[in-house]
Parts: sequence; structure tokens; C-alpha cells
Amino acid sequence: MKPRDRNASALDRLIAEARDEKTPAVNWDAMEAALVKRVGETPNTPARRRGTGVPLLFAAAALVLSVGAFLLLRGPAVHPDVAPVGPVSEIPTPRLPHHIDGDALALGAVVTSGVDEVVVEHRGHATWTLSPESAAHVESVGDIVAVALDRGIVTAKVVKSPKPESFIVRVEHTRIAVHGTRFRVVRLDSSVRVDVEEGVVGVGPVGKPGFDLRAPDGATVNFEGIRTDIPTAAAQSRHPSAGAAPTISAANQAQAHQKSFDLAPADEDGMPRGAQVGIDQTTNSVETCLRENTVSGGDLHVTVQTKMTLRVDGNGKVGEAVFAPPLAPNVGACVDAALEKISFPHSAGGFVAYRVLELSR
Amino acid sequence: MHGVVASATDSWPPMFWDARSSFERSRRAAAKITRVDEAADLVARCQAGSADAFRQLFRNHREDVARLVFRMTGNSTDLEDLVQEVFLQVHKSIADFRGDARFSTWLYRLTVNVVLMHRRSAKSRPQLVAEALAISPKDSRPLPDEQVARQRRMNAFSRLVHRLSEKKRTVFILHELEGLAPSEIAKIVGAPVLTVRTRLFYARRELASMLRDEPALAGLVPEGDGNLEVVAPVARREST
Repeated sequence: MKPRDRNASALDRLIAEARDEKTPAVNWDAMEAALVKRVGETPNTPARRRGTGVPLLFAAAALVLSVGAFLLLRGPAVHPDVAPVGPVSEIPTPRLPHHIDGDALALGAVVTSGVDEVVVEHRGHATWTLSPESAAHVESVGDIVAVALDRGIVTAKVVKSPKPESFIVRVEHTRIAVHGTRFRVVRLDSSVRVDVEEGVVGVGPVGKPGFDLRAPDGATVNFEGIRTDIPTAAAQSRHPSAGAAPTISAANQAQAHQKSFDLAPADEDGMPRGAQVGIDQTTNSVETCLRENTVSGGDLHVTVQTKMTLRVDGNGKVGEAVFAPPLAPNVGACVDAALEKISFPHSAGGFVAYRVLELSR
Repeated sequence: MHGVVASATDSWPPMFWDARSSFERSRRAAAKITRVDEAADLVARCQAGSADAFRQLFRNHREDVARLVFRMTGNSTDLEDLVQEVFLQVHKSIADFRGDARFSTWLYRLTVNVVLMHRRSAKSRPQLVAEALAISPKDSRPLPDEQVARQRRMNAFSRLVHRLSEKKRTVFILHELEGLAPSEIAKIVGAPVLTVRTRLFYARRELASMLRDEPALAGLVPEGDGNLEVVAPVARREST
């Protein structure tokens, strides 16, 4: 039996108290007035009743004056100092400088360039530059920065990182994942051109293995991530033998040497070689968590049969684990914590594995 | 006519109670549907540029936004500025709201993003969490001891929460204090549900282990065995 932590009980009491804490008082009327003013409107004011004599002339004059005053006093529709932020807000082309702090961008932020290029810097991580008349939006921030190129050209310089994939550019269903390299992605009408100036990038379809592209090579792929050009002989001679260490995965390394560039999955699940070790670790973790978080003994036995769907990201970490039927909350929480520590082999697009687990104690 | 229910007395036959309760349930359901439709209508009018609709949207959600901002920042210094900033962003981005998620989820996401960006840009400023929260009485009369002790507890708790990493702190506040489900939090922070649950697990564990770091909170954890609570899933008994 697993006793509940005394500290956890004290924490629950604090949480209950914190929930009841009152928010400090705010002058809502003043805030509403300021807000309305900033978005460029005037508050409604009631009209005064006048007599029917001279009034029409004065009323007309008053109307003209008030409209004029309104037009003079009205500010810009958008406060010039406000930096747009939000899931789908658009960051307008900055005039000067054409430099954006990437760490300040929110998920979904759209960056567009006009006549000048725009540089987005994620300090200590990566710098990507939108060429003129280009647009991209941010799909992920933090340890892995992911950008979707909506239009034009992006050039990226990525700081070398121990992580397998720290910067990703997506174009439709094509995914370019890099670490420690400099590369350029051009979105054309119905294809994507990738040129590597330094290091290695992995190129392929989203969710499936791809191929490696080493500097100074380039490749053209369609929007499904399938290569459509033929590498030059010089480029082929630069590729090491199949026994060389893979940059993304063994499957990708092998595919880089194929004369035909049709992509083939590693096995029926598209799992990279060595993934079974991680799945075994996952199963063992589930068993351990069940054992540590359930009551048994005597004539009481606990049996759990559940279908596990494991989605592993390209960086080898578990992105999602779904159990049907679901595990008990405490067992599930234990499993979640254990999965954070399990690493799978890296792959261009990750993979999904299914297992039926029957666990008992 | 079971619509005529003059008073609730035990003398009414059970069938009238059933009719009344089902009538009440359907009325509440209809009221809920009406409220949801009104909310969608308000957003639509706001997207069409209605100033009155925007003002109403502000009035409907300002307390929720202020509460979340206050909990995420742990102080009241920038509360009004941040709340105003959130609604400015609502005004700018409302046209992009496609209705594929609840408006409240979208608003929560906007609020979280505004606060996080504010914190990142203010990193060079002194840590404000250590200051006393703005729960100060307007008058100079001394507070009752219990109220003082509670303020100290809440200040200390806020300090601990703000020692968590940004990601753990965000999901902790959204789940434990705001009461949101992990699935909704996943949409707000843009992470898988598994990741949200893992962060919650570690956040709670970390906070529980830090309680003794704060003198105002150490007394909450009893010494000795204390009470034990068994946690177990539903199990079936098998005959041996």
C-alpha cells in the first residue's frame, strides 16, 4: 500500500486557501474608458433635449463641431507601442530595426517581411531570416523551435546542440529538422528547395522517415516530402558509407544512399531500429507503476488489460501515451513521470506504436 | 397541471416532484443553451466591429482575466496594465478567432501569452514575488491574527509557486487554482496532454517538498506518522 504524502495533504490545504484568495480591486470603469479610447472609440454620451426655437441651427453647429473634435482627437486604431501577441496575431513588418526577439514570440505568431528581410533571433539557439516578401508562423518555442514557412524564403543558422533536433522548418507536409547547421529553405509553387551550407539536415515527410542532406548539398522535394531531383555524382561521392554514424536515424542514413529516392518505412510501424528497447522500458514502467500504486494481496488480485498507443516524436521523446481503457489517475501520473525519462532512437518524423498490455498483480 | 407548483411540501405526491424537477432541469438546460448562444453571438458581433459588443465582452470576462493575471504574476503591481493589454490583444485578434475552441480557452491562451511575454521582457527587473501581495486593508486598524497568518501563508505559497519553472507554474495555476482540465490546458499552452499531466505531477511534487523552506508553511506539515491515506484504483476481488 502506498500512503499519501503528508506534504501533499498540506499542499492541498494551501491550494484550497489560494483558490479563495480575492483578486485586488480594480477600477473597471476607468479601465474600460481607457480601453475604449485606446481602441479608437468615444464613449456614448446622452443627447440633451433642446427647445424647438433657435436650436436647430445651434444643434447643427454643435454636431459639426463635435464631429470635427472627434476626428481630431481620435487616436490610431492600434496603439503604436503595443507589441501584438497571441495565438494568431500578426506581427507587422517592423520598420527599423528589422530584428525580432524570437523568445518573445508566442505560439502561432505570424512574421511577415516586406521589402526588407526580417531577422528573428532565439538567443543562444537559432537565428532565422525571412527574405523579402516572405511569411512564416511559429509552431513551437522553447527547446525546439519550429517554424512553418507560409511564403517565400527562410535562411536559418542554428547553434550546435546536443539535442538531435532543435530547430525545424515545415512546409506543408515536408519537414526539415536540423541541429548545428546553416541551411536555406525556399518555398516554390509546388515544391521546396533545401540547400545546406553547413552541417546536416534531415528532410522528409511529416511523420515518416526522410533522408539526410549534408553541406554543401541541396535537394528539391515536393510538398509531401518526396525528393524530386537527382543528386549529382559529386554529392553522392561525398556521402559516407552505410556504416557511418547516422545523424538522425539508421533508416535515414540508409535511405540517403539509395539510388531511387522513394522512401520506405523501417518496419511495419515505421519504427526506427532499436525502438523495441524503449517500448520494453515503457511496458516495464507501466507494470512498476501498477505494482506501486495498487492494493493487492490476500485474495485480492488486480488485473489490467489496456491498449497502449505510444506516439514518439522525432527527437526520441514520448509525445503522447494513450491507454484504452485509461489507467487509474495515480497509476497514470506515475506512468507519465516514467515516460519522461525514456528515450527512443531519433527519427525524421517520429512513429506510433501500439501494444496490448495485460498486467496483473 | 404540474406547472402549478405552489410550494414545496412533503404532501405532494412523488410524481409532481419528478415533473417539477424535470421541468427545472429543462429550464436550466435551455438557459444554458441560451447563454452559450449569447456568448457566440457576442463574439460574432465583436468580430463584425461592434463597439458595444466589445465592451460587453470586456465586462463579461474582465474578472476572470484579472484573476488569472494576478495568480500568474503573484502581485498587483502590473495587474491593471496587463489586463488592459489582454483586452487590447482581444480587440486586435478577435477576427482570427475561428470558433474551433471555446472562447474562454482562446482568451485564457491569450492571457497566458501576454503574462509570459511580460515576464520575459521584465527579467532584468527585481523579483516582485517576494513583495507582499496587495491584500492590504484600506484602514490602519490591525488585522485579526488569523487574517495576518493567512496573508503570510498566501505570500509564502506564492513565493514557492513562483520558484517553479515557467512551464510547471503555468499548468499548476491553470489546473489547481483555475480548475481547468488537462485537456483544456493542453490547448492553452500548446503542449500534449501527456506533457501537461507530467508537468502537473512534478509541480505538485516539487511544491510539496518545498513547504518546509517557508517558515509560515512548515507548521502545516505535521511531524510523525500523521494520517495515512490509501490510494488505489478500483480492483476486483478474485476468489483464491
